[in-house]
Amino acid sequence: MASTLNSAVRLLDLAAGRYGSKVGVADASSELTFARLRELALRAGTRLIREGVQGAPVIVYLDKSVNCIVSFMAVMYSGGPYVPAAADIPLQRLEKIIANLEPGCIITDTAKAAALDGIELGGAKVLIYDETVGGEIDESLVYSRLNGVVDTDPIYIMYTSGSTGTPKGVTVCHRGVIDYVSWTSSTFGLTSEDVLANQAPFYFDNSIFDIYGCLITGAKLIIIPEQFFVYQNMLPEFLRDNGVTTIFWVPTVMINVANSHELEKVELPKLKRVLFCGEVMPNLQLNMWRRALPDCIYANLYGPTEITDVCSYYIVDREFEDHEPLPIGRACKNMRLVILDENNNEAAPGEKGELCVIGSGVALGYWNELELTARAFVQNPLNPSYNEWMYRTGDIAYVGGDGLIMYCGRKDFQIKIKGNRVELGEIEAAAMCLENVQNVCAVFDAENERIVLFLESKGDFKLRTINKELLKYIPKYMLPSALRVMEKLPHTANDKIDRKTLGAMLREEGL
Amino acid sequence: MDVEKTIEEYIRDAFEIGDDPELTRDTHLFDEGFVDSLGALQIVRFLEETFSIQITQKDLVLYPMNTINEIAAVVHEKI
Amino acid sequence: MNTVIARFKDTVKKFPDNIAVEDMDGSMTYRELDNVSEAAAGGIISLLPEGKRNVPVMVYLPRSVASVASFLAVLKTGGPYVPVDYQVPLKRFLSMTAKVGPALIVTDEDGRERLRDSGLDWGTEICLYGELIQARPRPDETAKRLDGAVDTDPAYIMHTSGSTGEPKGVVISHRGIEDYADWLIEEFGIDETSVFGLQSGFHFDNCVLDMYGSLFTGGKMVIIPEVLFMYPTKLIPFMNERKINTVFWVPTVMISVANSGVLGEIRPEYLSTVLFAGEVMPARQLNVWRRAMPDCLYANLYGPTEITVDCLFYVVDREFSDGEAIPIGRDCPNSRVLLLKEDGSLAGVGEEGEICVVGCGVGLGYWNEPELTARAFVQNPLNKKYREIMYRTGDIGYRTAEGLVMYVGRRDNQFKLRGNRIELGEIEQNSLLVPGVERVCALFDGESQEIVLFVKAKTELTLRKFNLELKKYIPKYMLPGRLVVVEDFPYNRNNKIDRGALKEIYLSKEN
Repeated sequence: MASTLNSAVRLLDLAAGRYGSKVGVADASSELTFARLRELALRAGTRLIREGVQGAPVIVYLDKSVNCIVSFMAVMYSGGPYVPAAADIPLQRLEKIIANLEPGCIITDTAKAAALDGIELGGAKVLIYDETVGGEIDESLVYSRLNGVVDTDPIYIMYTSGSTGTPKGVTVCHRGVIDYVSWTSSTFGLTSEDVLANQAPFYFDNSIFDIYGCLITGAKLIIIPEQFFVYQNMLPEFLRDNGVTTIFWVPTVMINVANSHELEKVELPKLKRVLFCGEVMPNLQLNMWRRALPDCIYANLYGPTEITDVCSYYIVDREFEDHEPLPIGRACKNMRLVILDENNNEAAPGEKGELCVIGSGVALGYWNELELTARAFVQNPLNPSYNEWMYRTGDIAYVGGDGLIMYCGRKDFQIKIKGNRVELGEIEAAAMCLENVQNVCAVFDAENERIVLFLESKGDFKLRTINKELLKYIPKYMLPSALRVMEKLPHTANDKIDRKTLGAMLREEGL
Repeated sequence: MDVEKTIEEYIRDAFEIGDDPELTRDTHLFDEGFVDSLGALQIVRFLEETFSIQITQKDLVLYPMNTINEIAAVVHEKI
Repeated sequence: MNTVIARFKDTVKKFPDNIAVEDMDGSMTYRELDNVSEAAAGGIISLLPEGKRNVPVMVYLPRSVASVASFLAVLKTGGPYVPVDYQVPLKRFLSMTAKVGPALIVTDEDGRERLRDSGLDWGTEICLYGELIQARPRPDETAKRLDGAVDTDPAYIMHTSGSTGEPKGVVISHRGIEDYADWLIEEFGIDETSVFGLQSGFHFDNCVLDMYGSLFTGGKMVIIPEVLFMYPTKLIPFMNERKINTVFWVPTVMISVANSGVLGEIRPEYLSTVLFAGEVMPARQLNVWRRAMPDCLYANLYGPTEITVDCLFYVVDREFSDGEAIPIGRDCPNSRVLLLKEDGSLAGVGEEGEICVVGCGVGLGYWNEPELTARAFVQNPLNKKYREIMYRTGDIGYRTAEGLVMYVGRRDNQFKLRGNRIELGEIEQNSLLVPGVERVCALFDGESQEIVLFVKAKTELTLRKFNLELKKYIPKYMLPGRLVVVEDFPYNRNNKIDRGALKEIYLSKEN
């Protein structure tokens, strides 16, 4: 077994060698040692290769559980990238993803396999998880495949919202992940004694921190049962009873937990690190955490999926007033952040510009979308001398007086809701499929952190029934929380829907 | 006390559902959009006060609490 | 982990008193090398332009400890070093300098004198190594610069022959070096007891193996004086005196040692690892080595400068008869070699195709030559899904049923002479600068292993006088071995010189 880290699944080989009998990953109903995790993954990996996937992507369409982790590892053993799909993904959306992806296989369970009958699979084979882990292991087959992987090969493809209504498959390479988790484990000092409680869905790249952070250190990963994100006030108790030392959560959950005031009632002596990423973390709630747990390390992480989860970080090292913004900090090791002004020159300190990222973590692009890729992943305009790929985040930022980067907002119509990236265009494309609707416009009401859907129609609509219909096309987190029906939407002089007027209407309502 | 009835009346009232027939005692409150996660906090508070019980994280691991009947089942266990 | 300096520093910590590098005039321990390069880095930094990154520094020194210290000094400033052959023709040096645009040239007294006496305008600062190492170290400044570096930044630029007459500066990243060094350390068991006998010049990328093989492990690199390679009977006693156990030589040197018969009289008694690359190694001479030194490990390596030294390797594991071709072998881990046919499809077993390389060793392009870069570093034509940069070597090969690649030859006018890559175009373009020359055509006679230059000229020419003039522009290894004055050339239908016809005429004359 070569020690070259050409694939992130080598981290599992190493963990199984060092911490084989230690529990590596657990969910509500089962737990797996690192050795068992590897064994199951090798079984499923052998099966995938025998099914002839030949390095093609494999969709993992399962309930959130240890089985997902086994499947991800299995796909890597087969030499190809994995594609996590939420258990409740709208089937229409899954169909679009399949059309773009051309997967070799879909790993799922019997119930979901039945649902797949109704959609176009483009020749992808459907494999039942329980059967894939029931077979034998052919190590020489797996390793001959694995040895052929290079670390610039894709490890996973994660679909994010696309403005045209079609999701985009961000394609990340092994090197990006290996680089990222070597940084996280050394920066935050994770060890095999640690216990991480995973909140992020696996189709969301915050989960990369959890999964690979555990593999590289031998720490234990506990998948928090989904129920806790409905009853979020129970989370502190869950952390206490499971001896959790480290969390990496989306701010929405942190906020809800703070607002529930449970932190004041539940003692969490084991919790050492509270990290968050995915959207803006307000100091109002962070201060509630800091008052309740003054000895924890708090860190604000930032990064789009396109650069492998995180590219900047700020370890909270001073007091903040409730209304103050939290910096997104400095570049992580092996990442370079450049802020470009509108003329593609480097912005001066304090000057706002688009945040751009360089380094091994920069993704390979959008799967099967070479044109879209060329638009977002560009040659560094400051560098005429050699190939240097840069990802333009579309986020506006500036460098503060203390050298720390401050986040300002988006350049375009992309927004973040509970850490999920949402393109308003994707919601609009879905809403246009509603019956009796002439025109639509989705507006983000930043004041109230919600999406408002404007419909042009003479009909009568209820938000709940509309959302039930929209769920066929878009995931739950994209659903609007308010609805306005108008006979005619306002238009600008050049006949575009007048978003400004609609936004002003919402602000007036609020007064 | 009819636990199911008490819970249903509370939910219909607190979340402005009224007499909408689409809500049954086996409807998934969260997936069907009747209640959001802030509402879940309210429900727990209501249960703990009304029935003088404690709902812990272990209950959540053991039992689903997505429908009126499921929530009622947890309450029955406790009283 | 993100720059090669971080790896060097690890070694300094572990083996401060080991000798790192040794030449005829002296040696330096790791600690000394660290201190000296730190001081020189401080000196260089004060000459770098403000606010610019990755500014190259040219190093024009004899093969010596000073060269290595200078390279490390440049790397500590966060920029790439550009090694220049101390024997380079000054006009070629000038055109390289103009293209690279270095912040400065590091040289010694003799070198500075030569540059000054040339009367050429170098357009850049010329600094003495001896003065730079007296500078005040600026550890805070070097640390800051390295902190901002990413492993996709350039580490060195090495020049190879270009067909337009201008040498091309191949840009190699830190990541490429680390990946390559990690492989060779693992594959050949390199450690702090390794003693490399450096044959290569520092402007030739074979030296990367010796240099980083030692710098990353605590081993020693002995710079063998060039003159010894002309006297194999003196070379072997030198190797024994210095306890050299590992060599990576060009076949020309291996052949001359074998042919000299010296191995029958005296053996390099410490030698255990014999690696070679750069041109075809004939089995006949390899067999001489193997008979004399049966316990050594022999490996044939292959790779163009553009992919970080090597991408294929073959550990000699069976007998070869004298006339048999030695394979260039299998893909190095984390490199992928594709053989592409003319139509862009993958060659099957036994089918010839162009050797193309994918992986993180693939270089960043040719410095300041975006067009040339785009032509040689292309999107893998077999991959329509995501960005995957592939280097087309221009070499033709095929794969055997066992998966070993066999080298066939070049697809263009490039060839290798004593390990040096030569473009006939470069010889032709520069020959036109010789007074009296009207038109030229260069051919490579594979049989006699010499360059034959055909010249249409107004004046009488002798090879000696011609080469004396040509030497101002191109290095010695590119000079023609034969000069043929012609009245006119045979032309083909689009009025280009008919190389095929010329070859025939020339060959028939021979007969």
